[in-house]
Amino acid sequence: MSYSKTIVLTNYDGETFVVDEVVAVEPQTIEHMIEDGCANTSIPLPNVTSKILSKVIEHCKKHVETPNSNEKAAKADLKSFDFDFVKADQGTLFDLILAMNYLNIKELLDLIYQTVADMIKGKTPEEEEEMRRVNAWVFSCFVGVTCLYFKSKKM
Amino acid sequence: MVLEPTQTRPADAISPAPCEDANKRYEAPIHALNINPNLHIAASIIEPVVAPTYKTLKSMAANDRSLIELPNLNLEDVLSKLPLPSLIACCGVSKSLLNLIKNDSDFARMHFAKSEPQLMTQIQRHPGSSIYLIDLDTDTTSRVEVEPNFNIPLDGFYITQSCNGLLLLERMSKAKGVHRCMLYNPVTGECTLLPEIKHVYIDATFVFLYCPKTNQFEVVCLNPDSDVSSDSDHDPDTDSDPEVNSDSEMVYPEDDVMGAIYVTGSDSWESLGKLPFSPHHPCHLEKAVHWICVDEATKFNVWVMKEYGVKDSWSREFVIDTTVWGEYDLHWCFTPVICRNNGDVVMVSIFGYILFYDLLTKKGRIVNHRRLWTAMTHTPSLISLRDVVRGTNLEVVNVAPRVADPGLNLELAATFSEVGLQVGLLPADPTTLAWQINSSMKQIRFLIMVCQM
Repeated sequence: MSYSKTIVLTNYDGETFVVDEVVAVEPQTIEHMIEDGCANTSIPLPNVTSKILSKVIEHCKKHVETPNSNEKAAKADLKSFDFDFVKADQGTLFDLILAMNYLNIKELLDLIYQTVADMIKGKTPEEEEEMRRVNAWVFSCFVGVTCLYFKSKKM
Repeated sequence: MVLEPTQTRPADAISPAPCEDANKRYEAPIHALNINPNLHIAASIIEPVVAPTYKTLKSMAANDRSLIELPNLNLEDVLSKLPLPSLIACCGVSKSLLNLIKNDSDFARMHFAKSEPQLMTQIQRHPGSSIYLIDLDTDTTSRVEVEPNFNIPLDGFYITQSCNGLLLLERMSKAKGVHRCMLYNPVTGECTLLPEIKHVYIDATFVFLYCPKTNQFEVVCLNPDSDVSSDSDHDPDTDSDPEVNSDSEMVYPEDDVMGAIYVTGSDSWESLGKLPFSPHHPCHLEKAVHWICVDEATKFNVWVMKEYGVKDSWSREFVIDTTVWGEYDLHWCFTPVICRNNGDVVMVSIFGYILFYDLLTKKGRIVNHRRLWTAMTHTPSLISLRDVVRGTNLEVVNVAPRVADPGLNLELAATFSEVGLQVGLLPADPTTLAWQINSSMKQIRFLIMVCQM
């Protein structure tokens, strides 16, 4: 990669991260800070812990480094990276969402939203059935929807 | 149920016939087919630029948190990605979630903007029978059938159309020629009766359009027979004899088409006068505008309007040839119902077969289902009908499942035995035309006209 300026990020724990500018501008918040000339020394990110910040930087780096081409291999690589990236416990995802609220990376936020949504709906039919049985009263809240269950059949 | 290999060819064998220029056509970009810039309902994207409060900052340090504690904006974004069954299950988690999902009209619109159309079917012929939503997002080996059991509240009403989460139900009294239309949201269980329309011929086609963005709805009546429209200003001199073909099916001269329209906020139907095209049973291809399917008895032609609004730019992009399917050809009466965002055309057969056909790879798969009487696309919506008809004279009635409002029942009981209109699966009409239900109503009217060319 050609010469690029580096940006120093200081997080909640007081740790500093030195990253390339191209990577640092991925979060819109930081991009705006740099544009406004507030990033001469270091950018304080008091709302983000080091664990989350390093994860976010890892994600930004990967997405910046991957050539923005239509190559299948590059796309597949990025996809598998994203897939592994969101394989985290609920607490981490929770923190990531909060960090995203501050840092504002739309791409990553969408990815996490989808992951969380999949976690909510991604149950086996048996689990769903059980959940529905326990929460039967819920369906009575929707008068048009009397009973709601999944039937899965092998074709 | 497995389709035995001895009875059928494998899915890979389903391919179009080698028709001229076929390869060229198949190279057409798929995006030309299924993306309509005007169709996408602008998702209410909430930019999450909320600085975390002290409280959320503290909770960041904690280890085990429930996702319910997420800030509301984040929570709404997550929930809007859920399909309806999961969403309804979420109502049981907390009161605030229940309130959000059930009563928040902004959330309802946001969720609707992200939902995918599904296949809605009625398995029994009886008009009041349950409706089923079939989830199309399943792999080849399993079928997930969502059975929300959307009961139609009132006997005698047939579901005829679905547009953006609302259903149009119709009931026709043959003897009196009085037509009643009803709007119904099966998810919220609300319905409202539209004013009655008189002098409607039995073959009249109703087109229902609802745009969630502008919150306007519109019902267009295309009435093919002038004789019934006794109060019309029809000139008898132009009344050429309707041709009667071997199936005793009327082919109406174009001049004889009368139209009437009902729009949000008006008290009655307004006449549109004569229309320059003759209506046929529409094929509902939701969320895929520019489509027109002409059934040539063995082939479905897929037409694309290259340049939006330019009627000369219609071109045949794809041909789905059913003759090569062996025993699964047209004898099974496949009708295209929906084109999905992934490029699959979903076709259904009255015998209960659902075909997924990929236009690009020219491959398809057939899923066996119970016998279907009606099949159309429906995007489940949480948008309340009260919200839709707000500010109009229409009265919204909440219907309990299986038990309709007694008052409404009484009113309808008198004409129940006279129900003559039966809307089943779309027939393999030689000129089966399809137009797209678009959020933009003016364009629709134009599209209908174009279809006739």
